[in-house]
Amino acid sequence: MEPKKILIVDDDPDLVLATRLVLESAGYHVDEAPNGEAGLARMREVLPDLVLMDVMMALPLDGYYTTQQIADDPTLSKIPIVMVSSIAASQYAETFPTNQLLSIREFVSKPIDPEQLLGKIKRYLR
Amino acid sequence: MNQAPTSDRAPVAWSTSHLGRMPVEYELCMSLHWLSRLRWVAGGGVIVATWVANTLLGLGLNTLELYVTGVAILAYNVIFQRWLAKIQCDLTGISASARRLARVQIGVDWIAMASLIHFSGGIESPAILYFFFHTTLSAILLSARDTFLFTGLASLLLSTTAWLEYAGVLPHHHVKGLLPTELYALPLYVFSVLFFFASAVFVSAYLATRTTRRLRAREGEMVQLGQDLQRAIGQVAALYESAQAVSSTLELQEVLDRLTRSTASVMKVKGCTIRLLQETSTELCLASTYGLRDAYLQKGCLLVDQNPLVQQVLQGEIVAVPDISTDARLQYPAEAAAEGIRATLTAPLTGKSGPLGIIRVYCDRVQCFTSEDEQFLRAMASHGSIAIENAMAYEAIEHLEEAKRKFVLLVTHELRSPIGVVHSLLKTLAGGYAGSLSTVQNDMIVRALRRNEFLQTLIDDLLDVAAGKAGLRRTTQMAPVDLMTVVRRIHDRYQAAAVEKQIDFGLDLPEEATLTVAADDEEIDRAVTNLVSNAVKYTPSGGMVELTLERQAGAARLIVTDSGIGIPDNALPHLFEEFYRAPNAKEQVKQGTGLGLVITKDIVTRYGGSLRVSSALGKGSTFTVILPLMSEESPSDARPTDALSVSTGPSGVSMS
Repeated sequence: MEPKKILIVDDDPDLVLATRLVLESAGYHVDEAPNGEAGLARMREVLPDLVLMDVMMALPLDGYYTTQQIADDPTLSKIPIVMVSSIAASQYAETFPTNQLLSIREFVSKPIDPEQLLGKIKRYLR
Repeated sequence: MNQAPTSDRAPVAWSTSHLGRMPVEYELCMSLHWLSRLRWVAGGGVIVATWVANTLLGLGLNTLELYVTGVAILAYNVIFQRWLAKIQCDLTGISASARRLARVQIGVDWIAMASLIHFSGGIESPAILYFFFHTTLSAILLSARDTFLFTGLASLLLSTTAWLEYAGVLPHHHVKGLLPTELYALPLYVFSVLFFFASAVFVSAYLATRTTRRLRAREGEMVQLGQDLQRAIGQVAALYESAQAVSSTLELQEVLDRLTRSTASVMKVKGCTIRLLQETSTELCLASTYGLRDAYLQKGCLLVDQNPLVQQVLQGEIVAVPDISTDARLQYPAEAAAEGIRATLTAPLTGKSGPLGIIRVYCDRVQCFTSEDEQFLRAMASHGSIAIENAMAYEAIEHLEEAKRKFVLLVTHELRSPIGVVHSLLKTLAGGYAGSLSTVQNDMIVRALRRNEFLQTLIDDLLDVAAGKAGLRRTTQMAPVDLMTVVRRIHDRYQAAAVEKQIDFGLDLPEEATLTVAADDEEIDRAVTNLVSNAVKYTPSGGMVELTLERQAGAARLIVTDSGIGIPDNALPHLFEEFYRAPNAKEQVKQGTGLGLVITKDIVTRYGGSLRVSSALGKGSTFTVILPLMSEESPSDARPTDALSVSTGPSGVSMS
């Protein structure tokens, strides 16, 4: 069986490295993109089974707007997205109304715990 | 305000009732009724006196003629009464017809008097004295000119009657019972009577009119005084109202708009503008306008250094331009003329720290503004300045709050994210995802992780405290929170740690299904977690920690009791100070931020609850949280209060 493809969209290379190591050790095929725009292009190219998306990225496209564009694209809108944010679960979450988006399946708050992350991903890739 | 009769500034609204009109006219109207009633007595009096004089005294009067005269008086009085009934004494438009009626009445009375005199002995009749009544009456009712006219008529009537009788044109009706000798034919007697009559009646008329005139002048002054008073009261009321309106908001634009609107409407002028000094202090730009067209307002800002008038105002003077066409001080005279502006009045807006700007009113007539107007504008400007300054200060505070909020957000992200990344990298290493590690390596990474986690907690706590101080809490997101669920969840969370330390970890929940408070779930969780975490942390192995939740009147009570190290008495007063940790706590557990209780206190207090602590050193501590329950009617009932109190258990000292 072909390994499931996961796309990490994050502008922090250190975090991408850590996440990649965790995911690859669990047998996933990992792609990465450093910003929302590249992430969208990469999504169309490889059609991943799941996307890990950072909420706060440098513009032009941060996680929020990228997710909006994904939702508007019928070929991409079914791909589950796990939002990763240092603030998603904090009291400042209201500033970024990410949870109003339909295609966002789950929030993961930084720092990411490897076991927790793998558990969540497994649920969506069943 | 301006009194010019051509004024388009409508009579001020507060000039009410009869104070706006001279009461003389009202009095004239009423006097006509009174005069008419007197005439019934006069007519009846003539008839009765004739009967008495003739029948009882036997004076030998010409009874028929006198009875006819008396009846004639009564008859024409009926007509006058009819006429009078048509005149309403309601102060509006009565003067002309009432005055005409008064003249006709007095004229007819004069003729009746003349015939009465003629039939009762002409120049010999004592009835000539009755003319004095009418002289006085006309002085009261009519103008001085009319009074002298009628007095002249009375003298003329008497002289004519006397002369006609003397000349034999009219028959002389001698009253023998009254006067044995006939005097009417004695020229010297007739002349002297007429002379004394005329002089007496004219002097009476003079005295009466003079007195009346003074009385009327005084009445006029009273009326004027009343009007002035009314106007002053109106201005004070308007000033108070506008002060209220202006001060009842802290929104700068709203303050300015209310100020221009109320100034223009109270002063009844064409328009009003406020210009505020820009930060550079070289320009005065429009901040609020009322009553002027956009075309006029688009002319832009006033340059202070090119505008001597504005400089004068900014130095604290009120400057009037009574006629813009002859005044070179205006920067845009042509535009003002096109807008229909003829005169302006400008007052300074001065704050505590110097000039804020100017307020200007515009009138469409030249010479429009009086000194009262200047005083009024000055008063408006001075209370307006205070309101403007307050609104500006409030705006500055709001900007500061916004800046703080942004700063906290930035710090949150900038501090948390590198620590988070370090955590992820270490976790990846520790989890063996980057290859297997030796025991020593693993141990070092676990230590690094522990320190990193402490750093995370510290930052989270710091941000919590900072956010609380900066008022950045989302108190708006209040929702029903079931305390039973929260406490059960926290109990579950610390179960493992308690088992590890062999602590008897009890949970005592009330019978009811839910205990609901209006709050933010996350915050309540945080507040309770801090207490439970401390209890578990500072209770030695084999001890006990118990969570008890109870309902009391309108509130929920959560008690966290432990058999831990306790809190020394001298540490209790400092328990809720930031970064404070009791010495025995530091000894027991090295790492700790000293912020947990501060945060708990802050949260509980904000939801209208209280936090109490009692402790005995070496025996344990009890923290009691009381939170008001959500009432059915008002879900957002939980208001912040300062209900926190600390009681120090055994020592009995309590603080708040």
